[in-house]
Amino acid sequence: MTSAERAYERRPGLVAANLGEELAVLDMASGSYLGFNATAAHVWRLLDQPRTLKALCEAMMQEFDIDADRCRSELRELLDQMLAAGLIQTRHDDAA
Amino acid sequence: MNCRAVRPEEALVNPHRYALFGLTFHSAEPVPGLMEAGADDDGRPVTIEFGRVPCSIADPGYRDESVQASATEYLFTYADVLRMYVAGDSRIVVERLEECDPVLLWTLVLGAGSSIIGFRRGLVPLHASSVRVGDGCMALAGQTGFGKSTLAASLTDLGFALHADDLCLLQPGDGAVMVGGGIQEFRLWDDAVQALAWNERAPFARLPNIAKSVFRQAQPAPASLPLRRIYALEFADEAAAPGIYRVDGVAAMQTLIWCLRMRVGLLTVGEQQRTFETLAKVSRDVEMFRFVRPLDSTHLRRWSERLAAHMAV
Repeated sequence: MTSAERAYERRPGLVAANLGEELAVLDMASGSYLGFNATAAHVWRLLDQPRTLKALCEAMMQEFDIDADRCRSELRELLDQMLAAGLIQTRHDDAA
Repeated sequence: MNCRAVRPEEALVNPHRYALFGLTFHSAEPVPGLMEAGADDDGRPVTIEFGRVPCSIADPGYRDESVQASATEYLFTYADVLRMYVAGDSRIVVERLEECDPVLLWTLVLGAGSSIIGFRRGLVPLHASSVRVGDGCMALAGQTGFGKSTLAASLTDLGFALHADDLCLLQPGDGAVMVGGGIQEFRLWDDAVQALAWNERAPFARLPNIAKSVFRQAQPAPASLPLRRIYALEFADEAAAPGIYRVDGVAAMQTLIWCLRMRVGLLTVGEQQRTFETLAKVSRDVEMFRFVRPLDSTHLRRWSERLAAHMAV
């Protein structure tokens, strides 16, 4: 499976609160709080439904003035960080 | 030690009524030097009883040498002074361990007790002193040693009225975040008394074994006021130049969390989601600043004046 085929989604058990453009997330399991900057918060909001890297990139490029290569590269890095932090999970999703 | 569970028949009549921090207390014993409230201000009172407290609570989600906490009970020991048991969000039982100083005893009972009860009721216990500004109040927040009381006392010398010292219980509602008035007193270290030039003032009490004096005014606690701003206190160092800096977004929430007067164990056994959402609301609704000033207390007056000028804008 390639990363382009994987759909990313929020992990259950997390609660988010808007703080202006930024966002704070509470992990109910660990009790820990995490803060997102404006860009990460935007990605988090897009993940209100499962999305592939490609779909996320398209949505981000509509919002920000950024070229496709850079968008994909930075998004992949951010998604890897979110995965490592246990904030999101992936699933194979042909339809996404 | 004779440890046994509190029994209903041990409950005492609680004739002494106080309105503090936005809460109403009905106490079995009077608080020395504190004006009592009228009988018509109840709401849902917090009872303070004196007697034996249990040695343990059922299923503590948090436990260390001096604290046991669950979602409904809290038990802690302050060496040689007291053991305190808090049941739910409305009952405090105090057991004296020695013939301890009454001022210190009540400082612990009302400070820690109000923090625990307030948190159980969905309020935010902020480690802060506050002064009245216009039709609201502004809080000076920070952990122990950051000069909250000293700065608030200095502001009273500039004409501000004290609203609460050391604890501000934030009441987030549909409108403004409200803060209940506290005991009209300052507990000041000796060097703070020196820096304020309050040496000639007669303290209400000296705290035993601590270089602190209590300066108390025989006035009732002020009514609740809307909280306009929080100033998080810092001392200047290589990483932070003196000044007043706006904080918002995630940084505001981090600052707020850093300034909580939270008894150990509560965050791990309480209603985490409610607490999180309340903290986020306060972070959004209340303007927050970092107030960075020199550690040297000879600058106290000048930086108090600078803060006062900022508060007026």
